[in-house]
Amino acid sequence: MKTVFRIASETYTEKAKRILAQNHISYRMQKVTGAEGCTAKFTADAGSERVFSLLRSNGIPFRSDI
Amino acid sequence: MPYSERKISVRQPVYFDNAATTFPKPLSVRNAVSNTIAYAGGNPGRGGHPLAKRAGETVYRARESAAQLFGAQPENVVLTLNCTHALNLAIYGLLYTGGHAVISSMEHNSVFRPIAALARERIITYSIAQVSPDSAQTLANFRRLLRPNTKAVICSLVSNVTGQILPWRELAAMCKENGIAFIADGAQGCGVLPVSLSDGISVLCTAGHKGLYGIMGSGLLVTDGKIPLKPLMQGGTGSLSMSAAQPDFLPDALESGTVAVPAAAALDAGIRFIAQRGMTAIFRHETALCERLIQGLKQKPNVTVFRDAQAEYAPVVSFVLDGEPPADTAARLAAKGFCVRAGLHCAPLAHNTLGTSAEGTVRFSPSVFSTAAETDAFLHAL
Repeated sequence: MKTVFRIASETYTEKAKRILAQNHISYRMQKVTGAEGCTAKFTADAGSERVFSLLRSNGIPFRSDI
Repeated sequence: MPYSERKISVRQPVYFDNAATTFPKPLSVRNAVSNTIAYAGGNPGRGGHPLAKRAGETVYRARESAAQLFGAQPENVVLTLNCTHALNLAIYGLLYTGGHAVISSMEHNSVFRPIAALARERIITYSIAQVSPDSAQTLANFRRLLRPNTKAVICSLVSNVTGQILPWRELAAMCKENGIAFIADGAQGCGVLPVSLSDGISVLCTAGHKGLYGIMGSGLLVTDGKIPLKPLMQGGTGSLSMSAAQPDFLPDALESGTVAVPAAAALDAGIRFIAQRGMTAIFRHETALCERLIQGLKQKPNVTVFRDAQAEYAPVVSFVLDGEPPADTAARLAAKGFCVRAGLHCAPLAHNTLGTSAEGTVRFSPSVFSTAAETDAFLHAL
């Protein structure tokens, strides 16, 4: 199961990478350019409920690609 | 007294001006800077390639280290050019809509000048609280100046002239009970004293290149994120680029343009160095050298040391040789290879308080690398 989300800020991108790693969630991160500008697009190997819960509980603003 | 066996001269000087900037830097800091330039030379947040990612990771590690040191979240650590930049961000960012501010009588120009400028433009009014060797008296002096429209208290943790430690925790508590922001200038205190946002500080501003052993061109603004600050500068942040508005989230809101990645790497290494050595151990070492100096000065005739038994001090000592202008004392010492700063130390308010506005003082400020033998040699050179 994969979860795709985007983060606008470099700092929160780094924070998200650490949170995912700490929770043993593998991911791929790619810089993409879209309607709002440049963002980090994450594809995480875990369900959205778990991933989004982790992001929210760590105060990381993100946009779901669902 | 045994002196340093190393020959001290202009070509091989001894440095006691660490309140201005620390020297030398730890090897780990020097290596961090050169490694960053060599291997992480991309622009963080501006691309998805390996070098940009390495730079981004380097910067985030610095935020993490600073956050851990000061009890903050990494995203609430803003990297600045220096402490003055951080203080201007905080002062203008909070007070641009007006109100009243209280500062101490020992403030550096990095606090006094922006406050005075805002007052000249009739945006704010301000009051100056007299600092006493008695902390309770200092606190009372601040409290007496609070008004219904007081928006902020801005105060140094440690005087850059005398080293006096101000009662910042008590001042922060006073601010909290009155709904006032507390902006702390930690330039002299951070790295030797256990400063934390949990002390009640709303915004902590500090230099990266003094007690944190980073390089010049670095400073920090650390906040609890509760007080919005209007940006001083707007521009590219690598985020929300399609918007004409500056991002409203930290740190991007207050960081426009390219971050100084080598400086961030140095800051990270410097903070780790302090953790490894132990902040308490560093404080004790430097304080012992100051005590050694003071004892030596007391044995000399006609020396005034600006210390009071009632006050508490960080490792900075100001003194004057009666009958010799401080600038001449410093020049004479420099000719023998000893680096100290003389004059007003960019803190005219402090010298008004001390009564030394005419010519200032000579300031001795050791670092973790300074030695007893060097201090003895300094005393001999005097």
